[in-house]
Amino acid sequence: MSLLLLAGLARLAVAQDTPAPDTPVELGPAPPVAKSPPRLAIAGTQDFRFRYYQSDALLPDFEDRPRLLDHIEAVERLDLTARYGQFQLALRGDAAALFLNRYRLDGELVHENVLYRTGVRSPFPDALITLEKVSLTHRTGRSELTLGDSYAAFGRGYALNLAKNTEVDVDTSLRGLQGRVSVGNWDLQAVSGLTNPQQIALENPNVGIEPDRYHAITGARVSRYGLGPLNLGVHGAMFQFRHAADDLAAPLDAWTRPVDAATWGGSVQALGIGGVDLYAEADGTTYLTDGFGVDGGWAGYLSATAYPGKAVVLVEARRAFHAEAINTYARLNDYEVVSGPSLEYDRVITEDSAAAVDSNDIVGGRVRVDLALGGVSPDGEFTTFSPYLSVATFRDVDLGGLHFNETPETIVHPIVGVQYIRHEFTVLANAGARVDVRDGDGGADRMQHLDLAMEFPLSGPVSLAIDPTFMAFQWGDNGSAELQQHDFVDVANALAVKVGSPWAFILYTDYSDNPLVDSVGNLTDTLYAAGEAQWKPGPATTLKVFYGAYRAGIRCAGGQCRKMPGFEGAKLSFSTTF
Amino acid sequence: MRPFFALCLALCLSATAWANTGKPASDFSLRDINNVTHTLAQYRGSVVLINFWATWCGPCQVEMPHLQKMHTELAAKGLVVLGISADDARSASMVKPLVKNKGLGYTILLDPQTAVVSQYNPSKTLPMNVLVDRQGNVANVFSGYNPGDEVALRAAVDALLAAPK
Repeated sequence: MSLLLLAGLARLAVAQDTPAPDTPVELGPAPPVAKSPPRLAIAGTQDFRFRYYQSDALLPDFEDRPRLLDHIEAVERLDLTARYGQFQLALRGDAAALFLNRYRLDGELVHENVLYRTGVRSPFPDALITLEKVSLTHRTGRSELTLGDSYAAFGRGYALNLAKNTEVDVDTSLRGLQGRVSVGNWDLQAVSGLTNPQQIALENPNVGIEPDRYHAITGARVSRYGLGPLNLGVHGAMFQFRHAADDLAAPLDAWTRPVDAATWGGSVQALGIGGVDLYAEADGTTYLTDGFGVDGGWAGYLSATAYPGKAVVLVEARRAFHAEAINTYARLNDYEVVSGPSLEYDRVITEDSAAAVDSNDIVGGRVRVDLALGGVSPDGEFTTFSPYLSVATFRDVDLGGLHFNETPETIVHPIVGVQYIRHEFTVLANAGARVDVRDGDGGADRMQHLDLAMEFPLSGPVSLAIDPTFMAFQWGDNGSAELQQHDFVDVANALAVKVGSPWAFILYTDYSDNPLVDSVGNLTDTLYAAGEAQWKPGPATTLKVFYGAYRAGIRCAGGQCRKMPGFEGAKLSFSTTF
Repeated sequence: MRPFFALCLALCLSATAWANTGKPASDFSLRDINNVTHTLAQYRGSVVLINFWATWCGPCQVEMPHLQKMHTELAAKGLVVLGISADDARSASMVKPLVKNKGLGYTILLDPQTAVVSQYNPSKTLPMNVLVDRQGNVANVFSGYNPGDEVALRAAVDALLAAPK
């Protein structure tokens, strides 16, 4: 509660402060900025989740005692930033608690769904409160110095890519020191820190939380802009990984360990040469200790964009050879420290296509052509009408991971889509087919997919939104009974009735007969249904109530994929930004 | 159980009750899709609409025509729209093609390190709009987008533009 008290005092201070004087400055490249006295400002976001997990599972020999495995989880996340002049203090506090996760069975107390494992410190057996992120930043117009948690990425991510990724609960920062400065046409960035993955998940179940395993990462990038049409950058990073899961020595020891791997590389960007924007990057990786299976790797990425007439043509190519083996240790905690462009369509990544995304030996490219056929109507309304065609092709010779066969593959993945937006009428549609052709007589894996997001007004403030997705997968001959997989169909639908901005009522239905999906439907084994009501009492506040079930599956965001568990039960969530 | 819920309830209520006005918007420096550096401070004296979006965010793209319309109609009156892409390093090459395809005329900034996203939008809600008044104070925050939300956003922008300088 002391946090609230401090926040209240700060608010009082803000209210009593003198408002900044008016500064009528005309818009321009560098207008004079009137100095106003620094004021304390506190802002933040808070998210609360309450989940009631239903389980139809029965304990062996205790079939007469249903619902023993039901339990409740509550999660609270509070992001606070306090600013005073050029300083900013940012904090993220997370709390999670499990309830009804224990029961007496014939007089013996049994704990199911243990919240955290040995090594995680908490005074409460079924609750955990952590200060997930903390940072103090000093900013001037051209420089920034952060002590604590910050994010860093070099180039297109093949040398280092730790960006905020809250979408799939893998938000990993670097806790240490980071500085950025711009001097003329030069940008300099240097960072050294310990990886700090989020421990408490906001959207996923919190069960068996592992203690943080700190890896040390130190790197720098120098960029030079304005060399004629060229912009150049060079970067390098070194990685000191903590190898064993139970090796939880003092965090600072990570910096004293031998360097396990180093990445280095450079990028060239040229804008507007002959109407084409070019970007090229090459990165190398040296593995200095055992555990990666190789001594070195490299990656290359190239993009070229042209804008002929109403078209936008984007050509991308990539080659990766053991460049992402560097994620070996970080993946134990579901995140990656290096992640380059995959050129795949994130929404249809399956267990099989994930193998190509994370391949250690792959070359490929993608061509995408978008047409801008919309415009401004005489009544001043903007209309977006943008069809596109994308074709990606890869040659994947890495047989590790979830490859499900022992044959190199050639992958072709065309996608067509369209965006149409006018007034309140919206259509976003994407459809594609992917084929993974095996060398020799191994046949091919085939996938067809469609996703659609459509919204249109019904009457007055009432509108209807329909979001169906469909995916079918036909496996070829996987080469052995052990590796052979089964064809499947995945369907997910969301049907929403929206009443103005504040209210939405959504019906979800999922179907999946994919045997790799580790969940069971609530209507039948393969059919899931759920309902949700959403209420936005203000522009930055949302309350949601959910009841039902959805299936497990892979979800990808920011180049990182995570196997999300299914759910059956009830949820309540409350989010507000203040 | 009760203390935990009491704490959560207190946080929820205090957060909701916290009026979202009058707080100085912290400065930032980012490069746009043509590598020109922009700071928030350079737009002091204008009403600034900071829009967080990403190439993979459908609702963000549905909202964009409305932002473009506001930019077209209100730039001369002192509105500056800054679109900050939350795409990370790996999808940075897709930002400019999308901007060109949609014919967006307002400034698009790149934040591949999610530094400004972390600063203003720690939960990474997309889209999210932060409205900054002429004095450099945060006036409103709008999270998410449903068709029709642009009406309230436009009203807030109009009110700030009409406010005495």
